[in-house]
Amino acid sequence: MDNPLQNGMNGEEQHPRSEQLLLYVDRELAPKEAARIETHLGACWSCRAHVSKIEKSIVDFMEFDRAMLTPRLSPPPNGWRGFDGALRQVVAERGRRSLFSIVFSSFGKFFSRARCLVMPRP
Amino acid sequence: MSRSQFRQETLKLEQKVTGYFEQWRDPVYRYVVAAFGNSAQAEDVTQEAFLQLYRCLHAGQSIGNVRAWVFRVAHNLAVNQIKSQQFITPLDDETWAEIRQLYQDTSPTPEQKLIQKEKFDRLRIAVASLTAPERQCLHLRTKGIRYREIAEILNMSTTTVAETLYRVIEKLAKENYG
Repeated sequence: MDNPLQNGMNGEEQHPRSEQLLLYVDRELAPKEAARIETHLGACWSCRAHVSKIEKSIVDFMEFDRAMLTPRLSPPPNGWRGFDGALRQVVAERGRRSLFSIVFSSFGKFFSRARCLVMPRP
Repeated sequence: MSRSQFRQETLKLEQKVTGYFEQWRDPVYRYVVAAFGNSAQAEDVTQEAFLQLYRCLHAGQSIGNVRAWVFRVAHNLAVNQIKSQQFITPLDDETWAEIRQLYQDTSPTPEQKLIQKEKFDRLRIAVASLTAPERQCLHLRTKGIRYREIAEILNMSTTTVAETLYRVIEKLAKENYG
């Protein structure tokens, strides 16, 4: 998919790199950069043809994926039944640890206060 | 924090993670099977990614982009557990013949059917030639994941993601248009 003018000059402006054209197609460029490429495309048939090939390749792959690849893959489990139980188990396990630390820190506070009362400061 | 406050917070967090799970479990699962192959472990990998999300949020870790985080954890778990870097779709001749037989082409004329078949044959060769990072980038992108997120998930720079995806496009176009 060579763009013969890719690294050359087109009159005054240099052609965007191929990766930049893909970023443009995928709406990944900053607005200023996207506007610069948009302007360039308005003037340059070669780059427009290049963008069109990129788009076509994406469309072709998606069609291939939908028709040939995806049907071969095992579908997501129906209902994901195991998750709720597994999450509840993690929640309980984390909860026990956290409750332990709450209780432990309350005891800690209690004993440190009691210690202050029982043992007057020097 | 009192016990009842703690219970409320826990419940809120549980609901939040369940919400994320319902929203993204299928795309995560589909990515795992597409990039690493059909495996009974794909379900476990997907669920474990969300359980780890709960553990991290519960521990007070702040996660900026939850979607990218979950995909990254699932990806890493799949790399460690499934270990099959062999893509499910080297698409050997026998499997390919089966897939072709099952495919119901809706093209109106026999000529168009033939063109479509030939196009898919060429794409099969292109897809089988992709490297592991190429097919991972491709399958993440087809799930609607943005470049910055793909970079985060696969631990690479955004520039590398763009270069990799462009290489994929080049391979697909080369097979398709010569």
